[in-house]
Amino acid sequence: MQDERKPAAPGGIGAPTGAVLGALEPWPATPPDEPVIDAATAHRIGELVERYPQSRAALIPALHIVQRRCGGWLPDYAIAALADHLELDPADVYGVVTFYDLFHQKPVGRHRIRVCTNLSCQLRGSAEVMEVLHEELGVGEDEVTGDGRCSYTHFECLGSCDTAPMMMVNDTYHENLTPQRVRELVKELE
Amino acid sequence: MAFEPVLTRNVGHPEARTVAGYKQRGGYAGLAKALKMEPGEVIDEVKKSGLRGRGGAGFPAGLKWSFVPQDLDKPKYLVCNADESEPGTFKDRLLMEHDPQQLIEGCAICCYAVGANTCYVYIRGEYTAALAIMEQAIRDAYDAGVLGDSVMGSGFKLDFYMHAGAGAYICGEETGMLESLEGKRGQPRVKPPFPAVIGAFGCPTVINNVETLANVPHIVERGADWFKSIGTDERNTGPKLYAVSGHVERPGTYEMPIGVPFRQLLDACGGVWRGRELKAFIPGGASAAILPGDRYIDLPMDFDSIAKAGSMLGSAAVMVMDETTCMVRSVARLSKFFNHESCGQCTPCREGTNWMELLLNRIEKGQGREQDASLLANICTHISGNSLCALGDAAVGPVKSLVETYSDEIEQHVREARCPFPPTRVFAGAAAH
Repeated sequence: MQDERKPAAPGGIGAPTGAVLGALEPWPATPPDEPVIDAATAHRIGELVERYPQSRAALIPALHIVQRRCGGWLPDYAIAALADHLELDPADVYGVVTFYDLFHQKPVGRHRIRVCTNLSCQLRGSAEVMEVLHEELGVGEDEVTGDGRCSYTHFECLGSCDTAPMMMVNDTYHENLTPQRVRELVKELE
Repeated sequence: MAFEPVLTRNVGHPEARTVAGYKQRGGYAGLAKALKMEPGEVIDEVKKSGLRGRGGAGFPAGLKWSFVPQDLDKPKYLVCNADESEPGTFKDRLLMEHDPQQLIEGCAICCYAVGANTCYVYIRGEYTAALAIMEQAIRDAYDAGVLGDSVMGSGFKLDFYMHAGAGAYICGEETGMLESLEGKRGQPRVKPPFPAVIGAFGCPTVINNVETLANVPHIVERGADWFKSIGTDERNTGPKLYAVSGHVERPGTYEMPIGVPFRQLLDACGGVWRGRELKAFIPGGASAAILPGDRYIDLPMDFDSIAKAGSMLGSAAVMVMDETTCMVRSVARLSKFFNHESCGQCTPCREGTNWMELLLNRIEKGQGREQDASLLANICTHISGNSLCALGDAAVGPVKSLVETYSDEIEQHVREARCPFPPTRVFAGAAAH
């Protein structure tokens, strides 16, 4: 007979990674006045393109960069600018943008909250997390609070089922949530 | 014989994220050994080990590698599947966050064996922490001469990149992933040709899951016979990560020999939470058929035993449901997922998953009709085997098991024109002011 194993990561696997998250760049609050693809952005995209035998392969990573630069969503002019930069058809790029859940075509809050509501989280209270967010923020799903501070949405499985219920605020996972903890987290967002 | 953890041995040792720390804990011995072998010998050893893909399909990894043609004058690629979007699965995230060098080592051995000089790790865009840790580990591996122009001084060249997706379950399907890697919508391709012949950028490509590749250094270092000594039989070998979630006291990732009985896994998790009874469990993620707890409590958790029970090991995402769980509500949530994630290419899957969600929601709301159960079964029949990739069949898995195993619950919903189960409230007085 084999021995039973203890959990590989008791208490949730998100905790030890927090320090690294600090290295991630901050999200800008508003779309830039300057060109979407400025020199620094063009340089970063150029570095990406070099990784692949076909430049188009850099499209999705480049869309992440552009979306971050535009405050968390992709206005049409930004899609067009990137298409032009990568010499792709804007409609083609638009088609890619609409396919993926992490790309947004409508303004989002300065803080974007994604609540996992798939089965493992549903079994452990994600519906209550959604209710608390609705109460605390006073807006519906996918709407932005009047001060532009927050928007929230339900999301498919975020791969944190052992720490359900959980939600993602911008780039950070918040796990083992309770209604009280959700209220505190929302209040901490500026 | 006590089972020592293999894949998770470095969890709790953050120093192992660097090459130096990883080597101190015995790492990179497998790669060093592989580089002294002929590539074909490495493939043979992995074949002999019986290692089957840990991403869902369970295809023999060594066999997959051997399909890569060696006589073509084209670059070859390894794409590591770190998309991990199967609901209930979180084991690959753990492997990347806690032991990135182990994954790099496994990828490097695979690349050497098949003759690929470039590896892309396609990671789901939501895994920001794992991405940052992997990128740091890759930079360190380049600096230490593990990656780059001459892998560990062997003269073998390997470039290694992370590639973040953008939130689409279908990109975990191997050809959907290739489309996405190439900057397109992640719609699966027609097979054949298979990726081993025409994959990324029109070139031969191996696609393996994170956990599959994490096993490789250990197989090379300790030998196929050692690997085969773990598990149920010749077809189910090696250590396995089980990602347990839902109604257990201690959800988490548990490393055990493949084929461990479900009861033992459940005990390791502290049993069903809140002192309740087990109702059912899903052994392998959202795509797998639901199994009633009383009948399958002693089921060996390996590929073939679970297949015999009518479900699948899949990615070994074990979701546990207690006696208070409404099966219609649970399956409705899974159908909502598949409807959302269907790429829309094939009509049976695109339309069928939509109807599944509509019907199940209708039943759950107490608006179901008597014929709805047979209508659901009919939709399952029309989706099965009628789409390009496995997503349609995956969507059928839980629905079919609901109709076949829990038809009494469907009938009760319809008869009483309401859901007979209490609403899912987990927190005492939750959402109260």
